[in-house]
Amino acid sequence: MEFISLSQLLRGSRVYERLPQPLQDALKRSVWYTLITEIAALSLFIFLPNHIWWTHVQPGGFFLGPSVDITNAMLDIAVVVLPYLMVINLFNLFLTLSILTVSLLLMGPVHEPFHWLATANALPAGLNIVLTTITVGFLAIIVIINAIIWVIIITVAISLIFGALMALFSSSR
Amino acid sequence: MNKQRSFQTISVEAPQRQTLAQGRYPDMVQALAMRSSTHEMSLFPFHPTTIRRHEWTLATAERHRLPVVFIGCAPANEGTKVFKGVETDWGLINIAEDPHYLDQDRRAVMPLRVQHELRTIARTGMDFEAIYIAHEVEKHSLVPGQSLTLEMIAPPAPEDFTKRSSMLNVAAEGIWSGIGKIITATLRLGANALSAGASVSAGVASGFSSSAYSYDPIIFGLHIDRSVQIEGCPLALWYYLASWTWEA
Repeated sequence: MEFISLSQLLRGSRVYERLPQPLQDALKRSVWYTLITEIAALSLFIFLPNHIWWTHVQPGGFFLGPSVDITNAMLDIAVVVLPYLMVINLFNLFLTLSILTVSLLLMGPVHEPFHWLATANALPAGLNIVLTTITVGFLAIIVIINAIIWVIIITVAISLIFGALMALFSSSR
Repeated sequence: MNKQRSFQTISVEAPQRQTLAQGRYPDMVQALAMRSSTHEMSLFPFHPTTIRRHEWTLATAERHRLPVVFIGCAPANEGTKVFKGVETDWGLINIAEDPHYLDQDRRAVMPLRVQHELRTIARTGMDFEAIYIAHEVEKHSLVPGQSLTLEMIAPPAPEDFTKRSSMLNVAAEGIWSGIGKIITATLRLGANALSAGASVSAGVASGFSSSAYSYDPIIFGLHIDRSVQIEGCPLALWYYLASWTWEA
């Protein structure tokens, strides 16, 4: 019959208040969302051709007037911010993988610091998504505004041409 | 001869009932039905070393004002021993066989306060050869011959940690919900054609399951006397060391 002495018991005792707990559902989802975001962001950064980041729009093309400067300024900011963002993403990916490893793919209990880490982990990923969305959103607005202007220009031009042709046709009669 | 000598060397104080007259402990001690008086103890042929250890334990406990209380003599049982209490029943088990201890990779789980109390006891040089734990269980949930199971004795999730974890859960949910709103708003602002951005909204997470009623474990320290066997189990002197209520 095996006995455990008091000293043996204390050597391996665990504090109840600090007992690891499994991550709750929203935190688990958050970790998965973060992982997907980080992988997507880093994949784009690695696999997209380098020259794309340095692409600028040229005046005299599709983009009209001040939209050329605005678009190029936004692209310049994105190019400056991107490397820092990728470093943060890389570090965050490491943290996400650590959480997944320690929690046995979120199936097992983890100590309290990992619960805090899982929450904080969502912030860089969220920042990533928000910045990308805002940048793409504003570029989309510029493209749409330019497209609308082009539609107006083309419509006015066609109207003018059509009007001129009509005037020419009526005068010739 | 040995037995006769043992009888002569016994000088044991009666158990200090004042500490035990709190909470459910009187019920527990009554349920354990241990022999606790000096007279009854003298019926057992303890080895002189055991008696000396017992006397030293009592003297040390008194000198350091430790909550160690001598409960009585009983065999160090194998497996679960079931005792009927007043409102609840008790399962007494060697900590080495305790399902929760085994589930935690042979590590005992106890509140920080209890750990401090036991460390204070250990710092005086006091040690017990065996540790037993009495688990309070629901009335009639355990019958003699049945073993304690993890489900019967598993503690609820720590309350404070659970609260903080729930708060973090809500925070994470808020972050992704906010991101979803920003994406949606930006895309709506950009063009209706692009406004089908996925809204990341998570459902309310389910809370930790915790038992509605928490049961009280009690830890006993034993001085084992292997020279005396009762039904194959060594006889022991039992001491109350600590008890607690799980947060619920």
